[in-house]
Amino acid sequence: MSPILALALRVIPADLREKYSEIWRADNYASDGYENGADFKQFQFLSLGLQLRWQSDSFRLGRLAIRALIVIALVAVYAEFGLVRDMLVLLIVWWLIKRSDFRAIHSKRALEATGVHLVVSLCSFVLGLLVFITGGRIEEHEAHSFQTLAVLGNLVVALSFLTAACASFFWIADFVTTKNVFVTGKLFLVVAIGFLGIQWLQQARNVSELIDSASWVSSALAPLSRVQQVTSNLVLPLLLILSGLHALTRLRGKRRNQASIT
Amino acid sequence: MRPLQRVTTTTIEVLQCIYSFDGEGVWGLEIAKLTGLKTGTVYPILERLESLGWLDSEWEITQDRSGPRRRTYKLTADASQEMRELTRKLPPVHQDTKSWNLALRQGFLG
Repeated sequence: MSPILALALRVIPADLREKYSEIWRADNYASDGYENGADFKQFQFLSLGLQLRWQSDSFRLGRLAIRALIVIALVAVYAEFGLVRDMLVLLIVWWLIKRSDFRAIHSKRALEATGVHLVVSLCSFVLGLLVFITGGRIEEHEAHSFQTLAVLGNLVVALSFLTAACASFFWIADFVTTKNVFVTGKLFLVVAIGFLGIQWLQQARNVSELIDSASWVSSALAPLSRVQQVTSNLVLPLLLILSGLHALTRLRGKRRNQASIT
Repeated sequence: MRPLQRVTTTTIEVLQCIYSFDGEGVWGLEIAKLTGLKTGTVYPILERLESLGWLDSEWEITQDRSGPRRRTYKLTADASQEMRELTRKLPPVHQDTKSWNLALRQGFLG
């Protein structure tokens, strides 16, 4: 017996092992008129074993532990990486828009602007990092090329400011002009995008500081840092509240439908 | 028979497939072939439906073919009744997987 097969049989809950071992043999039996030889591979049997184990009653604690671990890992990743926070917020906003039957007017433009901003933001970060790393150890004859790199970095940061403002503007325009969403929903989304916009601007400021910590942009936008600290901590709770409200509305609608059917 | 707690599109496809056999037992690999789903997906669904009382399963008894016996599945009497009602309630034009899914989620069968 191959190790994969042995593992698969071990993974299947004990009370189902014999049954599925026989099912597996029958499915693989070549002379039964079905062309099934290749269908039921060993890895698929292992995957089946894992799924049977996952849904078995005896694995209730294991399920709980794995789910808790996933939540902890996600929270850790969320707390550690700014990019993940951005992506998560975007994902929740996108999901909410999709689920709300949001007859969006500018959403395509807003999505495009967001995509462009994320790319520009990433480029500016890479350039900023490059300037920061090379800045400390350049020789005199390399000063000119370093200056060019720094200027290019600053230009991309400026572009990043612009794209962030554009994307935020399109989202807000989209939420405000849409017809079939209640005022509270609109308000939530406008605030969420406002917070996200502040976060984007703060990230651009961080890159600008990386390139030149004494630049006027960094000092002029210094108060943004404090605002961003407050707002970015509010983004997720706010979106969770909105998601909860959305789920509640759907549940009420579902109950109403059920009552009208019966 | 207990209500389905988690109704996925694949669950509906499997239920529809078994229902189409009109009380005749059908084995897992055949369901997989007819629905185009992997057997690794079909069997856990069958196991879940069986534990909830939607399906009955038994080892095939036949002298017509050699080799290991196959496990065949069919809807229980209650599940057949529910599927019949659901088919009747949904207009023919809406009897696609999405509509079945929606109907199940709205609690037709709960």
